Amino acid sequence: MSAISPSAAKTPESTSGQPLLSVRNLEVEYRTKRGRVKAVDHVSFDISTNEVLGLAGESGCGKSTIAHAVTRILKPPAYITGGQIMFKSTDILGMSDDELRAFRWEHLSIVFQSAMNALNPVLSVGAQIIDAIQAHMPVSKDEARARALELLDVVGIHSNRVDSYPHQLSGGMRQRAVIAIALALNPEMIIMDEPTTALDVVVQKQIIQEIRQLKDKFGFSILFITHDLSLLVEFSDRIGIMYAGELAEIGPSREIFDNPQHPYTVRLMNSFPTISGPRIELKGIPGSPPDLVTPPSGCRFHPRCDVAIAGRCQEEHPELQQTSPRHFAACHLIDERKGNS
Amino acid sequence: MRFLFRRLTFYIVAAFAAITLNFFIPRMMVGDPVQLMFAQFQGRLDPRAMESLKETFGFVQGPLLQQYITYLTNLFQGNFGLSVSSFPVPVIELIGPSLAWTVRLIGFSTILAFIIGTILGVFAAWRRGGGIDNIFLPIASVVGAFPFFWIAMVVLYLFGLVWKWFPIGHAYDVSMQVDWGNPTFLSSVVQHSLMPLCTIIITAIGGWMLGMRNNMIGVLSQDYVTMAQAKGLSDRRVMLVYAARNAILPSLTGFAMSLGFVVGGALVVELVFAYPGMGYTLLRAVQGRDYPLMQAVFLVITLAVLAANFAADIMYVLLDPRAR
Repeated sequence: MSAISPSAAKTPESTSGQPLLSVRNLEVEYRTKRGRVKAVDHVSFDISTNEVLGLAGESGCGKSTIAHAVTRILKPPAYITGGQIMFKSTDILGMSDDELRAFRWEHLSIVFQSAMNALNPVLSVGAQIIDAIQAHMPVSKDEARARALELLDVVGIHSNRVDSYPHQLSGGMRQRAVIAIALALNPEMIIMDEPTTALDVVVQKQIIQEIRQLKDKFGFSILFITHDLSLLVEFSDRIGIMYAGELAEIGPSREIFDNPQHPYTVRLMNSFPTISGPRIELKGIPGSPPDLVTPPSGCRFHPRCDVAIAGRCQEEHPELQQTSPRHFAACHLIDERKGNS
Repeated sequence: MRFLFRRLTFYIVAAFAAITLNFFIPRMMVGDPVQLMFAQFQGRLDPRAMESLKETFGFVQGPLLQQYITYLTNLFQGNFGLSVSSFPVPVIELIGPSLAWTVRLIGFSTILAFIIGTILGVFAAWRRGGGIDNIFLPIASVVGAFPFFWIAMVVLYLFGLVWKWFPIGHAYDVSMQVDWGNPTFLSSVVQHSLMPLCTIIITAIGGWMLGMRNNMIGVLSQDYVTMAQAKGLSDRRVMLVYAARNAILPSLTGFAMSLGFVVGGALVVELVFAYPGMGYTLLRAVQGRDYPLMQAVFLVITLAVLAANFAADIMYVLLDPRAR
């Protein structure tokens, strides 16, 4: 799964099994007028070289906040209040502005949700790739432009569009252009924050295909943020399910799909149709995500959970526990099942 | 380019419409200046004098269409008739210099105010909550909200009368000959223009600054700005090419409008500082019932608004690829 491609030459030490990205007990707060909102609460996960980790959850569960925290592009009122983010052996949270400027894009880049908003409307697509390259490498404009043409070609945009402005491109092409910018310095990891949400299903499929091919070709890792769980199941190696700022469950995609441990994951699965799977009745999840100013006591999902254990789930906060070698979930029902077996 | 061509066609049609209206509206009104003057003399004027007055005013006999053609021909030859209040100076000779003074003074200060205000707005937004944003911006906004004539009179009183730093009227020392090659004359022009110039700038700056700051703050929250920062671009490039380039676009319309009003709109400043520009000329024309002069001033103002709008269109095309 994590075969190291030749282009991952930047990471000789990653062969030692050390994860490429390691997030530990990350906490992010939004300081709002109504009070402090813990949008991300003690979230930990690893991503290894050439791995795709998908993070899924409803709107407001903190998944995009994690993406922005890892790249340190959070803006006030959002603040990282605790935890550690390590990229190989560098501490991302400890970097100075200059170190960050040099680090980002060369090692870790990000693809934004809406390609229309991620591209500067008054600069040509080519210019937006070229300035990224020139910000990091002492190359001439012509060399940077040659590289830009190459990158556009890689993402399937004809090189004669290099001088096109964003408004002259279709939605799918804009997203490809944003991906080309993310690839500009051949980073070891790309964070993709709902890269296909604004696209129609057909284009969405194509882009996902292309991302997968690019990943195999260049050997980068992906942290893929989406609310579309069905997309993740076929695309990612592992999936993390977020609920109300916490990681509810994390494990290999197949296992999450075949044997979900958390009732929230089960409900989330049931709210998406599968194309190839058996016909099932789609069920939504009753209720709505909790207000994080005053999160529910105990398990945050208990008010919406139909299998909650009376007494315990309201009171006791469940911790992530291992259910199989690489599969973890935070639910009291796991204890119950263990006790029964 | 096609866009500009379309706009140009529109402005030419609009200019022609304005020229035509300028001809027909006075002629559709009841009474004419000659009759008005005639009535003022309460019959003490010989009817033959009325004929010669009409001739003086440039009234042409014959059918309306023929008059119209004569009017157009005269117009293209720069012939706006003779001024009544400064008879027999041709109107064009009165308008020419005053237009030049106005465009130089008001045009320059309007552009300068826009540039300074916009740059300060960029920095106010970039360092939101910093010195420019917290101290300078409120002051500029408050000053901008004062009545224009009041500021002008305060400036005139303090710098012109109390401290006598600057001459209090006219565009240059009237004892001098107009000679643009003469450094003494040039310095006199600059000295005479400083008070009105500063008045316009300090009153206009706040508006541009506030507008640009608010546009900037909107643009700064856009993903493309965040992405530009993440890409590792220098702050300067992010601020200017990614944020300001986009934030300035909404300001351009307002700037074009204020440029259009340069020719006609600075009446108050020109009056307070007795500056011999278009506003001053217009006032004189009204006071002296100088119809040919008035008509010409209005026409010039209209054409200036159209020209300024066209200039704004060109700026838009240069700055916003979506307008091309």
